[in-house]
Amino acid sequence: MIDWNLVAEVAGGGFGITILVLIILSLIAWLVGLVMQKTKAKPEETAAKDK
Amino acid sequence: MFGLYETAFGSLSWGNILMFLIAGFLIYLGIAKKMEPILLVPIGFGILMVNLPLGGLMIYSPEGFPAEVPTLGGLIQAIGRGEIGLLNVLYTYGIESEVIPLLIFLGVGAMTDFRPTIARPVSFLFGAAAQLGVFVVFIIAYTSGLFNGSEAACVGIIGGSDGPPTVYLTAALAPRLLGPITLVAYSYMALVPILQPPVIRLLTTKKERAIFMKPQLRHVSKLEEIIFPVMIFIVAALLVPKSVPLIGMFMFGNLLRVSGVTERLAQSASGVFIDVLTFLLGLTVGALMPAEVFLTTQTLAIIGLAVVAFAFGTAGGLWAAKLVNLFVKEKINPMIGAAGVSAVPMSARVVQKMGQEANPKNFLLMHAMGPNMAGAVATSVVAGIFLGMLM
Repeated sequence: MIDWNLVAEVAGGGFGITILVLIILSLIAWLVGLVMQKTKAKPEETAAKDK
Repeated sequence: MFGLYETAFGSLSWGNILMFLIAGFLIYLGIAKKMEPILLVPIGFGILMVNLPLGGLMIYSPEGFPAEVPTLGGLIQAIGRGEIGLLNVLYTYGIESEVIPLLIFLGVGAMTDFRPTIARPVSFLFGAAAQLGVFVVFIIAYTSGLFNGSEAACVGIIGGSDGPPTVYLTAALAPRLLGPITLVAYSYMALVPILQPPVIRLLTTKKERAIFMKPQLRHVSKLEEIIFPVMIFIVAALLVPKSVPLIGMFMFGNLLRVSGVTERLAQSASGVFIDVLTFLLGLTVGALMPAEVFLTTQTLAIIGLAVVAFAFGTAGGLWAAKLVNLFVKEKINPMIGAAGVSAVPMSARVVQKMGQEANPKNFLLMHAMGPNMAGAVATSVVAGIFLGMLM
Protein backbone atom coordinates (compact mmCIF):
# COMPACT_ATOMS: atom_id res chain seq x y z
CA MET A 1 0.00 0.00 0.00
CA ILE A 2 1.54 3.26 -1.12
CA ASP A 3 1.25 6.16 1.29
CA TRP A 4 0.94 9.10 -1.10
CA ASN A 5 1.08 11.57 1.80
CA LEU A 6 4.53 10.25 2.63
CA VAL A 7 5.59 10.62 -1.03
CA ALA A 8 4.37 14.22 -1.12
CA GLU A 9 5.88 15.06 2.25
CA VAL A 10 9.30 13.50 1.69
CA ALA A 11 9.79 14.16 -2.03
CA GLY A 12 7.96 17.49 -2.39
CA GLY A 13 8.63 18.85 1.08
CA GLY A 14 12.14 17.45 1.27
CA PHE A 15 13.24 18.89 -2.07
CA GLY A 16 11.60 22.21 -1.25
CA ILE A 17 13.39 22.44 2.10
CA THR A 18 16.70 21.48 0.45
CA ILE A 19 16.36 24.31 -2.08
CA LEU A 20 15.33 26.77 0.64
CA VAL A 21 18.19 25.82 2.99
CA LEU A 22 20.79 26.05 0.23
CA ILE A 23 19.41 29.42 -0.95
CA ILE A 24 19.79 30.70 2.62
CA LEU A 25 23.36 29.35 2.74
CA SER A 26 24.19 31.04 -0.57
CA LEU A 27 22.75 34.36 0.66
CA ILE A 28 24.85 34.13 3.82
CA ALA A 29 28.00 33.30 1.85
CA TRP A 30 27.25 36.23 -0.49
CA LEU A 31 26.62 38.63 2.44
CA VAL A 32 29.83 37.61 4.23
CA GLY A 33 31.75 38.11 0.98
CA LEU A 34 30.15 41.52 0.44
CA VAL A 35 30.98 42.71 3.97
CA MET A 36 34.55 41.42 3.66
CA GLN A 37 35.10 43.15 0.34
CA LYS A 38 33.65 46.45 1.67
CA THR A 39 35.72 46.38 4.86
CA LYS A 40 38.82 45.58 2.82
CA ALA A 41 38.10 48.37 0.37
CA LYS A 42 37.62 51.04 3.09
CA PRO A 43 41.17 51.04 4.57
CA GLU A 44 42.57 51.09 1.03
CA GLU A 45 40.46 54.18 0.21
CA THR A 46 41.58 55.91 3.45
CA ALA A 47 45.22 55.11 2.69
CA ALA A 48 44.82 56.54 -0.81
CA LYS A 49 43.24 59.75 0.59
CA ASP A 50 46.09 60.16 3.14
CA LYS A 51 48.62 60.10 0.31
CA MET B 1 40.72 -38.01 8.60
CA PHE B 2 38.03 -35.95 6.86
CA GLY B 3 35.74 -36.47 9.83
CA LEU B 4 38.14 -34.39 11.89
CA TYR B 5 39.31 -31.95 9.27
CA GLU B 6 36.68 -29.81 7.59
CA THR B 7 37.21 -28.05 4.24
CA ALA B 8 34.88 -25.35 2.92
CA PHE B 9 34.16 -26.98 -0.46
CA GLY B 10 31.07 -28.80 0.76
CA SER B 11 29.50 -25.57 1.99
CA LEU B 12 30.08 -23.55 -1.18
CA SER B 13 26.94 -22.45 -2.99
CA TRP B 14 26.44 -21.14 -6.53
CA GLY B 15 25.66 -17.81 -4.92
CA ASN B 16 29.10 -17.79 -3.25
CA ILE B 17 30.77 -18.54 -6.58
CA LEU B 18 28.86 -15.72 -8.29
CA MET B 19 29.97 -13.39 -5.50
CA PHE B 20 33.61 -14.46 -6.08
CA LEU B 21 33.20 -13.37 -9.69
CA ILE B 22 31.71 -10.03 -8.61
CA ALA B 23 34.54 -9.55 -6.09
CA GLY B 24 37.12 -10.41 -8.75
CA PHE B 25 35.51 -7.94 -11.16
CA LEU B 26 35.61 -5.15 -8.54
CA ILE B 27 39.24 -5.85 -7.71
CA TYR B 28 40.00 -5.88 -11.46
CA LEU B 29 38.23 -2.54 -11.96
CA GLY B 30 40.15 -1.04 -9.05
CA ILE B 31 43.59 -2.33 -10.04
CA ALA B 32 43.51 -2.53 -13.84
CA LYS B 33 41.10 0.30 -14.64
CA LYS B 34 41.98 2.46 -11.59
CA MET B 35 38.27 3.03 -10.86
CA GLU B 36 37.95 4.21 -7.23
CA PRO B 37 40.69 1.71 -6.26
CA ILE B 38 40.86 2.98 -2.69
CA LEU B 39 37.35 1.62 -2.13
CA LEU B 40 36.70 -1.00 -4.77
CA VAL B 41 39.77 -3.10 -3.86
CA PRO B 42 38.88 -3.38 -0.13
CA ILE B 43 35.17 -3.87 -0.95
CA GLY B 44 36.03 -6.63 -3.43
CA PHE B 45 38.28 -8.36 -0.93
CA GLY B 46 35.65 -7.96 1.82
CA ILE B 47 33.15 -9.74 -0.47
CA LEU B 48 35.65 -12.59 -0.91
CA MET B 49 36.17 -12.82 2.84
CA VAL B 50 32.50 -13.07 3.70
CA ASN B 51 31.61 -15.48 0.90
CA LEU B 52 34.18 -18.10 1.82
CA PRO B 53 32.07 -20.48 3.91
CA LEU B 54 33.05 -21.31 7.50
CA GLY B 55 35.62 -18.50 7.57
CA GLY B 56 33.87 -16.80 10.46
CA LEU B 57 35.08 -13.25 9.81
CA MET B 58 31.50 -11.99 9.65
CA ILE B 59 28.71 -14.03 11.21
CA TYR B 60 25.10 -13.45 10.15
CA SER B 61 21.85 -14.03 12.00
CA PRO B 62 19.25 -16.25 10.26
CA GLU B 63 17.36 -13.04 9.32
CA GLY B 64 20.35 -11.86 7.28
CA PHE B 65 21.67 -9.22 9.68
CA PRO B 66 25.23 -9.18 11.06
CA ALA B 67 25.22 -11.05 14.38
CA GLU B 68 24.81 -8.80 17.38
CA VAL B 69 28.07 -7.92 19.09
CA PRO B 70 27.97 -8.24 22.89
CA THR B 71 29.26 -5.52 25.20
CA LEU B 72 33.02 -5.16 25.53
CA GLY B 73 33.18 -7.55 28.50
CA GLY B 74 31.90 -10.52 26.51
CA LEU B 75 33.50 -9.59 23.21
CA ILE B 76 36.63 -11.71 23.36
CA GLN B 77 34.75 -14.80 24.54
CA ALA B 78 32.17 -14.36 21.76
CA ILE B 79 34.93 -14.20 19.13
CA GLY B 80 36.58 -17.25 20.72
CA ARG B 81 33.31 -19.20 20.61
CA GLY B 82 32.84 -18.25 16.93
CA GLU B 83 29.59 -16.38 17.65
CA ILE B 84 30.94 -13.24 15.99
CA GLY B 85 33.93 -12.40 13.79
CA LEU B 86 36.39 -9.54 13.58
CA LEU B 87 34.34 -7.83 10.88
CA ASN B 88 31.23 -7.99 13.09
CA VAL B 89 33.16 -5.90 15.60
CA LEU B 90 34.28 -3.42 12.93
CA TYR B 91 30.74 -3.18 11.60
CA THR B 92 29.11 -2.62 14.98
CA TYR B 93 31.64 -0.18 16.42
CA GLY B 94 32.66 1.48 13.15
CA ILE B 95 29.67 1.65 10.85
CA GLU B 96 26.52 0.91 12.83
CA SER B 97 27.73 3.45 15.38
CA GLU B 98 28.34 5.88 12.43
CA VAL B 99 31.90 6.57 13.66
CA ILE B 100 33.75 5.69 10.43
CA PRO B 101 31.63 7.62 7.88
CA LEU B 102 31.66 10.70 10.08
CA LEU B 103 35.42 10.63 10.63
CA ILE B 104 35.95 10.08 6.90
CA PHE B 105 33.87 13.21 6.28
CA LEU B 106 36.18 15.11 8.66
CA GLY B 107 39.10 14.05 6.46
CA VAL B 108 37.18 15.02 3.31
CA GLY B 109 36.59 18.48 4.84
CA ALA B 110 40.32 18.81 5.46
CA MET B 111 40.92 18.14 1.76
CA THR B 112 38.22 20.49 0.46
CA ASP B 113 38.91 23.90 -1.03
CA PHE B 114 35.73 25.97 -0.76
CA ARG B 115 37.12 29.07 -2.47
CA PRO B 116 35.26 28.47 -5.76
CA THR B 117 31.98 28.12 -3.82
CA ILE B 118 32.68 31.25 -1.75
CA ALA B 119 33.58 33.23 -4.87
CA ARG B 120 30.27 32.29 -6.55
CA PRO B 121 27.63 31.62 -3.85
CA VAL B 122 24.96 30.81 -6.48
CA SER B 123 26.82 27.48 -6.66
CA PHE B 124 24.73 26.44 -3.66
CA LEU B 125 21.61 26.69 -5.81
CA PHE B 126 23.14 24.35 -8.38
CA GLY B 127 24.16 21.94 -5.61
CA ALA B 128 20.58 21.98 -4.29
CA ALA B 129 18.99 21.52 -7.73
CA ALA B 130 21.29 18.58 -8.43
CA GLN B 131 19.58 16.76 -5.55
CA LEU B 132 16.57 16.37 -7.87
CA GLY B 133 17.77 12.86 -8.71
CA VAL B 134 17.65 11.87 -5.03
CA PHE B 135 13.97 12.78 -4.72
CA VAL B 136 12.89 11.43 -8.12
CA VAL B 137 14.45 8.08 -7.27
CA PHE B 138 12.88 8.16 -3.81
CA ILE B 139 9.47 8.38 -5.51
CA ILE B 140 10.23 5.62 -8.04
CA ALA B 141 11.80 3.28 -5.46
CA TYR B 142 8.99 3.73 -2.94
CA THR B 143 6.12 3.45 -5.40
CA SER B 144 7.68 0.36 -7.01
CA GLY B 145 6.78 -1.53 -3.85
CA LEU B 146 10.28 -3.01 -3.62
CA PHE B 147 11.40 -0.63 -0.89
CA ASN B 148 9.78 0.97 2.15
CA GLY B 149 10.08 4.73 2.70
CA SER B 150 13.36 4.59 4.62
CA GLU B 151 14.97 2.21 2.14
CA ALA B 152 13.78 4.33 -0.81
CA ALA B 153 15.43 7.39 0.73
CA CYS B 154 18.72 5.52 1.02
CA VAL B 155 18.50 4.35 -2.60
CA GLY B 156 17.73 7.92 -3.66
CA ILE B 157 20.68 9.46 -1.87
CA ILE B 158 23.04 7.55 -4.17
CA GLY B 159 22.17 10.38 -6.59
CA GLY B 160 23.87 12.85 -4.26
CA SER B 161 27.06 11.07 -5.26
CA ASP B 162 28.77 11.61 -1.95
CA GLY B 163 30.02 8.56 -0.03
CA PRO B 164 29.96 9.46 3.67
CA PRO B 165 26.39 10.90 3.73
CA THR B 166 25.19 7.83 1.81
CA VAL B 167 26.81 5.43 4.29
CA TYR B 168 25.68 7.53 7.27
CA LEU B 169 22.04 7.65 6.16
CA THR B 170 21.86 3.99 5.13
CA ALA B 171 23.46 2.76 8.36
CA ALA B 172 20.76 4.66 10.23
CA LEU B 173 17.68 3.95 8.09
CA ALA B 174 18.30 0.74 6.13
CA PRO B 175 21.34 -1.15 7.48
CA ARG B 176 20.34 -4.29 5.56
CA LEU B 177 20.94 -2.45 2.27
CA LEU B 178 24.24 -0.90 3.34
CA GLY B 179 26.35 -3.29 1.26
CA PRO B 180 24.67 -2.91 -2.14
CA ILE B 181 23.95 0.82 -1.70
CA THR B 182 27.54 1.67 -0.74
CA LEU B 183 28.93 -0.51 -3.51
CA VAL B 184 26.66 1.04 -6.14
CA ALA B 185 27.27 4.58 -4.86
CA TYR B 186 31.06 4.32 -5.06
CA SER B 187 31.06 2.38 -8.34
CA TYR B 188 28.78 4.90 -10.05
CA MET B 189 30.88 7.82 -8.79
CA ALA B 190 33.71 6.33 -10.81
CA LEU B 191 31.34 6.07 -13.78
CA VAL B 192 30.42 9.79 -13.76
CA PRO B 193 32.56 10.46 -16.88
CA ILE B 194 30.39 7.91 -18.72
CA LEU B 195 27.01 8.73 -17.15
CA GLN B 196 26.95 12.54 -17.30
CA PRO B 197 28.02 13.52 -20.86
CA PRO B 198 24.98 12.00 -22.68
CA VAL B 199 22.57 13.77 -20.30
CA ILE B 200 24.45 17.06 -20.69
CA ARG B 201 24.44 16.75 -24.50
CA LEU B 202 20.74 15.90 -24.50
CA LEU B 203 19.74 18.92 -22.42
CA THR B 204 22.05 21.64 -23.80
CA THR B 205 22.73 23.07 -27.24
CA LYS B 206 26.25 23.35 -28.59
CA LYS B 207 25.87 27.14 -28.30
CA GLU B 208 25.07 26.84 -24.58
CA ARG B 209 28.01 24.48 -23.99
CA ALA B 210 30.30 26.99 -25.70
CA ILE B 211 29.35 29.93 -23.46
CA PHE B 212 32.65 31.51 -22.43
CA MET B 213 33.40 32.20 -18.76
CA LYS B 214 36.38 34.26 -17.61
CA PRO B 215 38.91 31.80 -16.20
CA GLN B 216 39.54 33.83 -13.02
CA LEU B 217 37.16 33.76 -10.06
CA ARG B 218 37.26 36.68 -7.59
CA HIS B 219 39.93 36.62 -4.89
CA VAL B 220 38.77 35.07 -1.61
CA SER B 221 40.45 36.42 1.54
CA LYS B 222 41.80 34.17 4.29
CA LEU B 223 39.26 35.60 6.74
CA GLU B 224 36.39 34.65 4.40
CA GLU B 225 37.76 31.14 4.17
CA ILE B 226 37.80 30.89 7.97
CA ILE B 227 34.36 32.40 8.49
CA PHE B 228 32.77 30.20 5.81
CA PRO B 229 32.84 26.77 7.53
CA VAL B 230 31.79 28.22 10.88
CA MET B 231 28.88 30.20 9.41
CA ILE B 232 27.69 27.38 7.16
CA PHE B 233 27.79 24.94 10.06
CA ILE B 234 25.84 27.21 12.42
CA VAL B 235 23.13 28.09 9.89
CA ALA B 236 22.75 24.56 8.50
CA ALA B 237 22.66 23.15 12.04
CA LEU B 238 19.90 25.56 13.02
CA LEU B 239 17.85 24.86 9.89
CA VAL B 240 18.39 21.07 9.71
CA PRO B 241 19.54 19.84 13.14
CA LYS B 242 19.81 16.21 12.02
CA SER B 243 22.56 17.20 9.58
CA VAL B 244 24.80 18.39 12.43
CA PRO B 245 26.99 15.25 12.63
CA LEU B 246 27.73 15.30 8.89
CA ILE B 247 28.08 19.03 8.28
CA GLY B 248 29.80 19.48 11.65
CA MET B 249 32.55 17.01 10.79
CA PHE B 250 32.85 18.30 7.22
CA MET B 251 33.17 21.92 8.28
CA PHE B 252 35.44 21.14 11.25
CA GLY B 253 37.82 19.35 8.90
CA ASN B 254 37.72 22.35 6.59
CA LEU B 255 38.41 24.76 9.46
CA LEU B 256 41.53 22.75 10.32
CA ARG B 257 42.66 23.26 6.72
CA VAL B 258 42.02 26.99 6.42
CA SER B 259 42.78 28.23 9.94
CA GLY B 260 46.49 28.47 9.14
CA VAL B 261 47.49 27.28 12.63
CA THR B 262 46.41 23.63 12.53
CA GLU B 263 48.26 22.48 9.45
CA ARG B 264 49.55 19.34 11.18
CA LEU B 265 46.02 18.34 12.20
CA ALA B 266 44.70 19.02 8.69
CA GLN B 267 47.53 16.98 7.16
CA SER B 268 46.83 14.10 9.57
CA ALA B 269 43.07 14.21 8.92
CA SER B 270 43.54 14.21 5.15
CA GLY B 271 46.38 11.67 5.13
CA VAL B 272 46.88 8.37 6.93
CA PHE B 273 43.85 8.99 9.15
CA ILE B 274 41.34 9.02 6.27
CA ASP B 275 43.21 6.23 4.47
CA VAL B 276 42.91 3.83 7.43
CA LEU B 277 39.24 4.64 7.89
CA THR B 278 38.56 4.23 4.17
CA PHE B 279 39.97 0.73 3.94
CA LEU B 280 38.20 -0.29 7.14
CA LEU B 281 34.97 1.02 5.61
CA GLY B 282 35.62 -0.76 2.32
CA LEU B 283 36.47 -4.06 3.92
CA THR B 284 33.47 -3.99 6.26
CA VAL B 285 31.07 -2.91 3.51
CA GLY B 286 32.36 -5.76 1.35
CA ALA B 287 31.67 -8.12 4.24
CA LEU B 288 28.04 -6.96 4.22
CA MET B 289 27.53 -8.73 0.93
CA PRO B 290 27.18 -12.48 1.46
CA ALA B 291 25.41 -14.11 -1.50
CA GLU B 292 22.07 -14.56 0.30
CA VAL B 293 21.87 -10.85 1.18
CA PHE B 294 23.31 -9.38 -2.04
CA LEU B 295 21.73 -11.52 -4.77
CA THR B 296 18.21 -10.13 -4.60
CA THR B 297 15.84 -8.17 -6.84
CA GLN B 298 16.41 -5.19 -4.55
CA THR B 299 20.10 -5.11 -5.49
CA LEU B 300 19.24 -5.21 -9.21
CA ALA B 301 16.73 -2.40 -8.68
CA ILE B 302 19.36 -0.33 -6.83
CA ILE B 303 21.79 -0.75 -9.74
CA GLY B 304 19.15 0.49 -12.21
CA LEU B 305 17.75 3.28 -10.06
CA ALA B 306 21.21 4.74 -9.44
CA VAL B 307 21.49 5.54 -13.17
CA VAL B 308 18.16 7.39 -12.98
CA ALA B 309 19.38 9.28 -9.90
CA PHE B 310 22.56 10.44 -11.65
CA ALA B 311 20.65 11.43 -14.80
CA PHE B 312 18.06 13.52 -12.93
CA GLY B 313 20.74 15.02 -10.66
CA THR B 314 22.68 16.17 -13.71
CA ALA B 315 19.49 17.51 -15.29
CA GLY B 316 18.50 19.38 -12.12
CA GLY B 317 21.85 21.19 -11.97
CA LEU B 318 21.68 22.08 -15.68
CA TRP B 319 18.11 23.41 -15.42
CA ALA B 320 19.04 25.54 -12.39
CA ALA B 321 21.96 27.10 -14.29
CA LYS B 322 19.67 27.81 -17.26
CA LEU B 323 17.17 29.41 -14.89
CA VAL B 324 19.86 31.65 -13.39
CA ASN B 325 20.89 32.67 -16.91
CA LEU B 326 17.44 34.22 -17.41
CA PHE B 327 18.24 36.79 -14.72
CA VAL B 328 21.95 37.60 -15.14
CA LYS B 329 23.78 39.75 -17.70
CA GLU B 330 27.00 37.75 -17.73
CA LYS B 331 25.80 34.29 -18.81
CA ILE B 332 26.90 31.17 -16.98
CA ASN B 333 27.83 28.06 -18.93
CA PRO B 334 24.92 25.78 -17.86
CA MET B 335 27.21 22.76 -17.72
CA ILE B 336 28.70 23.99 -14.44
CA GLY B 337 25.28 23.29 -12.86
CA ALA B 338 25.75 19.62 -13.71
CA ALA B 339 28.77 19.56 -11.39
CA GLY B 340 26.32 20.01 -8.50
CA VAL B 341 26.20 16.20 -8.56
CA SER B 342 29.14 16.28 -6.22
CA ALA B 343 31.32 13.25 -7.21
CA VAL B 344 34.35 15.42 -6.41
CA PRO B 345 36.24 16.12 -8.66
CA MET B 346 35.01 13.85 -11.47
CA SER B 347 31.92 15.81 -12.48
CA ALA B 348 33.91 19.08 -12.51
CA ARG B 349 36.44 17.39 -14.79
CA VAL B 350 33.64 16.21 -17.09
CA VAL B 351 32.40 19.81 -17.38
CA GLN B 352 35.94 21.06 -18.04
CA LYS B 353 36.47 18.49 -20.79
CA MET B 354 33.11 19.09 -22.47
CA GLY B 355 33.57 22.86 -22.15
CA GLN B 356 36.89 22.69 -23.98
CA GLU B 357 35.39 20.49 -26.69
CA ALA B 358 32.66 23.08 -27.32
CA ASN B 359 34.93 26.11 -27.00
CA PRO B 360 38.70 25.54 -26.75
CA LYS B 361 39.14 28.95 -25.05
CA ASN B 362 37.00 27.86 -22.10
CA PHE B 363 38.55 26.78 -18.82
CA LEU B 364 35.59 25.77 -16.63
CA LEU B 365 37.26 23.60 -13.98
CA MET B 366 37.34 26.20 -11.20
CA HIS B 367 33.82 27.38 -12.06
CA ALA B 368 32.57 23.79 -11.83
CA MET B 369 34.37 23.11 -8.55
CA GLY B 370 32.03 25.59 -6.80
CA PRO B 371 28.82 23.61 -7.47
CA ASN B 372 30.83 20.41 -6.91
CA MET B 373 31.61 21.40 -3.29
CA ALA B 374 28.14 22.90 -2.79
CA GLY B 375 26.74 19.53 -3.88
CA ALA B 376 28.58 17.85 -1.00
CA VAL B 377 26.99 20.28 1.46
CA ALA B 378 23.59 19.79 -0.19
CA THR B 379 23.77 15.99 0.11
CA SER B 380 24.53 16.31 3.82
CA VAL B 381 21.53 18.60 4.20
CA VAL B 382 19.34 16.06 2.35
CA ALA B 383 20.60 13.26 4.61
CA GLY B 384 19.63 15.38 7.62
CA ILE B 385 16.18 16.09 6.13
CA PHE B 386 15.57 12.38 5.46
CA LEU B 387 16.64 11.49 8.99
CA GLY B 388 14.34 14.15 10.42
CA MET B 389 11.38 12.93 8.35
CA LEU B 390 11.82 9.17 8.40
CA MET B 391 13.61 8.20 11.59
